[in-house]
Amino acid sequence: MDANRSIDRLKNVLVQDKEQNPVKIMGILKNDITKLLSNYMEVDGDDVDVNLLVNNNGSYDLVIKSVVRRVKVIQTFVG
Amino acid sequence: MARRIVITSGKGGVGKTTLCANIGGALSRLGAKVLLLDLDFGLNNLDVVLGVESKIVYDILDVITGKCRAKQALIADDKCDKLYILPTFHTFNLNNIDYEQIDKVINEVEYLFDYVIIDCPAGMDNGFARACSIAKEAIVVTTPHISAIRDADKILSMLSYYKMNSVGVVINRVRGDLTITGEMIDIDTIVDFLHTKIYGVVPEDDDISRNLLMGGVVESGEAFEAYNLIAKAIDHGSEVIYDCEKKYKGFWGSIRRKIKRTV
Repeated sequence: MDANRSIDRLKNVLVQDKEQNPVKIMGILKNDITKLLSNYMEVDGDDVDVNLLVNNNGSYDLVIKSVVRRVKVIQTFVG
Repeated sequence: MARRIVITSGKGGVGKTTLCANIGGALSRLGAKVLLLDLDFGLNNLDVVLGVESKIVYDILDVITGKCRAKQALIADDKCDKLYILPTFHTFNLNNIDYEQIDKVINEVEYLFDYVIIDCPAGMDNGFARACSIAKEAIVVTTPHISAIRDADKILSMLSYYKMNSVGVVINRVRGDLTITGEMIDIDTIVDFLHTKIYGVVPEDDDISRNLLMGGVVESGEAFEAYNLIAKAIDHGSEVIYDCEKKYKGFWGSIRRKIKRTV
């Protein structure tokens, strides 16, 4: 019915709004994630890729992808 | 300490002020002492919606500038004996009033009340920031129309900045006869999109329009029931939501739908 077409329009509008929204936070988030990861493994900031995608339900999918050169040995793992 | 709840929407004309007055009325019927605070500076209408505009002696600006004490500016509602309003000024005002000044005024009278309900101006700039800085909880009002839902979604994102204790949605002006035939976006879809808990829905009701003629809270009809349910949801977390489609279901309901359409 008409409402369903309207819901599709609403979905498009909400998704578009959100795509523009989180630009500022992404840089900070990427820095924090790089810092966190480097506690456990050797990573280069340029190799960390953080993406926030808007999914069909109007919520976000966070995708983190990174090249890791070496996983660090942590005391607790050794014994 | 009173619970400070801001009623906001982003979009104008969705029924913030009317909802503010009537939720205040419904909460006072539950036995709570309620203060309604109009922060729509210069475009004040809460006094008119309640029908107390002729009783105003002092407004919030007089309190801030020290012409009177906050208690003196409070006006009692005619219909609900535990409902009070602190009116805002109606003149063009060039002084910039910040939220700390208003906060001081509320602190002065807060001990008298269980709830401070704040009527927020439309938009998402200074007035919105001021109202949200004072509040601890928020109610976002929307209607089942794309423009209002979109604005509500943005306002919900903005609210995350203010660290509210709780945020809920009220969907206003729902036409049960249209949601049932798929000519209006239904409640469940709106709730899904907004990812936020819902306090309740209010049906489009002629009684509200009739009431606004002379002012005062709604005292009967479908909207009255809906407001009472919302007050219960706010007050003690009841999850019963008014069913706007109830009237239009079944055989008699289909006849009612047709009558509504042809008249």
